[in-house]
Amino acid sequence: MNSRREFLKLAMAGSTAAVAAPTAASAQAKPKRWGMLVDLRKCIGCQACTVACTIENDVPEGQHRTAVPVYELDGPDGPSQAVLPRLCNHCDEPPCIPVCPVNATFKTDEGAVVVEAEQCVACGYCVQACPYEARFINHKTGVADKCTFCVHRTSVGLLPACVETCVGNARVFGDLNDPESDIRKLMAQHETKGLRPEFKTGPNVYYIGLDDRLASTVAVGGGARDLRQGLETPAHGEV
Amino acid sequence: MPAVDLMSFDHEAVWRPWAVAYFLLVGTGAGAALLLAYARLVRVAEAKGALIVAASFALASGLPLLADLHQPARFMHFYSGAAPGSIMWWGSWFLPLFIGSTLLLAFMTGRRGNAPMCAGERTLTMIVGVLALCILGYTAGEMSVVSARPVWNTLGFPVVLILTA
Repeated sequence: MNSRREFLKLAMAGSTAAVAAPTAASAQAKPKRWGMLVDLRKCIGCQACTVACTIENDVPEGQHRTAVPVYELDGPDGPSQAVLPRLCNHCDEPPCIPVCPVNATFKTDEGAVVVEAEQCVACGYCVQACPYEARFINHKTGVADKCTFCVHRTSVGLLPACVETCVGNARVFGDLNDPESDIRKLMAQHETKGLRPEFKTGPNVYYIGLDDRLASTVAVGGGARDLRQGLETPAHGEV
Repeated sequence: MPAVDLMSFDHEAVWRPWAVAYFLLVGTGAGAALLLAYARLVRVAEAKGALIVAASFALASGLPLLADLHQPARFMHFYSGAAPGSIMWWGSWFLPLFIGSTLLLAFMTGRRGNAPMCAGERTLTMIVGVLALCILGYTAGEMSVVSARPVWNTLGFPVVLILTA
């Protein structure tokens, strides 16, 4: 779905079909499996998605469910800027779920990984287990928090806030089980990559135009990180 | 040449120093309990010093663990359901059993004074030893299964953790 209107149309059509008597075809339809495709060629790093997510989900200052780190990479024509929008990858095999000692985190029928806040004891084990550093302990609620694909919006036919607000249509959200969905069509037309494939988690967030140097652990030297951490001499770290 | 970080975000450490204190205390307590069990198994000594260390460190270990939970009042959620796939859930059962049995053993030994050890106390000592192994196994396993942390996710890490305990 590349436009909000199409998404809403489809969602409303789906709701209407659910109210009406189900046909044999709809009864046999595959369940939805949400996924996101980020077209890095279109992302300008404006952080509108970061702000929209923060406002929509009341994320405390300094914490993020999604954000867009910006890096400088060396290329054949000199340095270039690279952006890497990051969020929970809603993995097929999420390492955060089996480690939870109180069954507070689970996958919805549509594949979104969510946290039941009232059940979470905030032990932080899931935060440690996530290779994408997509989880954190929310300073306001005191429990584990993460991107939910805006489950409160998608369950009523709306797009996630970050997709809704993306000025360049760089984020495409849709049903991976539907071969006619825009996300699937784009994936068929372009080479896509997921982050940190070495962990074999089956991420459901895909990227077009992802530089291999950003796909796995990003080795970072100098720059803003050193300034933030008050380092006098350039040091190398990993993010 | 690595990437230069123009704008990114840092994550705060989710396990605070309380977690380190817990691992230190429970590791020391479990190590002392193993020495106690060994000494009594081969009947070289009653090892009352090791028992005092095991009981006091086991008792103290629960405090930093609760302090590291961001929702300590919800600790009962560990026991309201089963999550056998999580090593931490197993640990939530091992820990109170270890603390309780170690304290009970200390009470029995103290009450007995210099009288000979009864069969019940000897059996309880072996139970404490087994539970100490469970404590060491769960703490080492809990960390070493986390593939997202390369240093933890090694074969040597649990060995080092157990030997230091």
